Amino acid sequence: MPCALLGDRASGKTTFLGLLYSAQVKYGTGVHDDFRFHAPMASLNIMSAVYEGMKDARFPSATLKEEITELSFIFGYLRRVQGKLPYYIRQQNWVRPFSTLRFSAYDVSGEDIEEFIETGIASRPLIQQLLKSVVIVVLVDCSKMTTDIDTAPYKKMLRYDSTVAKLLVAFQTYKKQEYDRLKDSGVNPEPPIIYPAFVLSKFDTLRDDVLARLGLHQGFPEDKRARREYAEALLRVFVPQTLSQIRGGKVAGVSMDKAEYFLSWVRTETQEGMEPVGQPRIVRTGFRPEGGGEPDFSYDEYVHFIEHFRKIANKIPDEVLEAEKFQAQALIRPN
Amino acid sequence: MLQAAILGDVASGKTTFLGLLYATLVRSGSDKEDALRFHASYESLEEVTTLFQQLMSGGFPDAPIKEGLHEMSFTLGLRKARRGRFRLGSTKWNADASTSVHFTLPGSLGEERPGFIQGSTIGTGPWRDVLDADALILLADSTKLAPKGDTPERGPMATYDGQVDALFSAIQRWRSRSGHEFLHPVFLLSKFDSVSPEVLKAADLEPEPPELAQSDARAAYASALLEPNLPHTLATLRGKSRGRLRFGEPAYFFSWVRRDAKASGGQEKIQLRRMENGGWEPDYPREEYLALLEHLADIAAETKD
Repeated sequence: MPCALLGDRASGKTTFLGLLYSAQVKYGTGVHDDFRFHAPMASLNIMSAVYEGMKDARFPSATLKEEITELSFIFGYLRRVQGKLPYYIRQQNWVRPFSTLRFSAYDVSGEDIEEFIETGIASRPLIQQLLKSVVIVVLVDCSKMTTDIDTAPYKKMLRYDSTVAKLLVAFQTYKKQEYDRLKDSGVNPEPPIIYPAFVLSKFDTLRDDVLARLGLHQGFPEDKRARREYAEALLRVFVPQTLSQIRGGKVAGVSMDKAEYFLSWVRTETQEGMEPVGQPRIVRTGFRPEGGGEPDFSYDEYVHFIEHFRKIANKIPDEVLEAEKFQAQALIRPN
Repeated sequence: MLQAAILGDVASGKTTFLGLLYATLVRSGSDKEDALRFHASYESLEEVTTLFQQLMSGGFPDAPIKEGLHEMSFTLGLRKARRGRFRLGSTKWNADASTSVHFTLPGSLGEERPGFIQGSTIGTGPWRDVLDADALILLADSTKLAPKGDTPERGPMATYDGQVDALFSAIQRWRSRSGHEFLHPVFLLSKFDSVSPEVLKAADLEPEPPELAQSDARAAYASALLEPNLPHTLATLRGKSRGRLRFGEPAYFFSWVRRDAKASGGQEKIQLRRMENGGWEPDYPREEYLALLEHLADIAAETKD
């Protein structure tokens, strides 16, 4: 199942992916052997380079970010029933023991997406791939959350909101058209559904005065409902168009499942009473029996992120998988 | 799909109106508890999101937006009680119970002289949509309202009045054999915060229009202001039906957006106000826009029947 990770330039995409890599290294090698992470070589090289840099207290360099043209990775979750089968059966190809989600990261300020938004024509393969996504993860950069209307971050956030809202409408329109096409051709498809998720990136940079203005306390709540309310209180102010288009999907015949919210932060070294000079350095954890020397980041949120998508991977309608299989066969079929 | 055409004189606030309508949809459809849901069409979004950014930054629509924005379409879902008030409830949102609305913004009647107004029945482009519209949203620029007692033929809205009346004739000709029988007029008194106190005094009216729930009082209030300024238009609406064309009961709404008095550099800025959730929005009468959306949904329901 194709999934899209959307973020603006400098919204923390590379750091997010580096931290996700870090989290899966720890999580995927734990005692529960039911999660797999895979990435194409080019993506893996970059993600591991970011991870190594973070272990050396450095944020991803600009050069490294420029190297990323297309970054993707796969989450694999052991299917419940297959997980109970004997090992030698699970090893057979026909069993397909893992539900997989294929994530691709997209820069919404990139040339391809900008062209698509201006023209509405999905001619480039990257856009065609993007529109097929069933899961949409939107990165929202908390460092740009300001209530000072005459500032550049305020305007950038307004623009980002417009771009993401337009992309969501494009997803919904595409899904609805596909649904109608299948219905017209005699297939009885399930109503279209998109699974949205938000990652509040650089959450540690969210200013106290902004929280106070919005009537929110410091620190993200743990309770599921309170988390949603807290995140939505932020998003209603900073990305209202995006939120309204998620809510409005149903009236257009495309259900957008309840959005899920995650935090991303990585602790940086601060010197009391002094402004940091140059690039901030990442704080690393001390060495413990379960590991150490790792960047100090919102690990639990990343585990929550991985686990959230397990539920979704298990919910994928069969026809999505069938359609994927059909497409894959069509691609390898000789002309 | 409900076809609504927005008509107004030059600089009467047509683009601002459409931007504020979109802002109302965004603001009133982003919370789980909200009684409204909307889904914008992709084709409308390029211009309208740019307009939204301008309004939310305190700017009035710029020239490229005014030139480029000619339509907006969306699907609208409302949770509505029978007596016209929104209610919160557990109604499930679905596409079958929603309404599609398409707004056409063809240009200013004062600038464009489409052929059909001058006698030809051939309409092209967005003006063609005006001929087939279910609802006409007629903007009356409140800064141009003349006091009761002045000669209407020489008033600032005399030309506009004649143009709207000519448009009604054109629509009547267009629909003489086919097309919808009903046309629903909606008057929007724009820039109402700048209406001259003299005008209000001459009509013996309060500065604030009656509340939304008092529909008769609102109609009387608006008519008292429009009668001396759009006499031909109102007479046509009150007159007997023209051939097959029948007019619905006119509805009246009031719009304004406060200007920032502190803005420097000679450029007019919109005054933004704090919302309860901590964000900003233009200082405008959101309830009027919600009521207008509800009214359009009612027309759509009638049209469907």
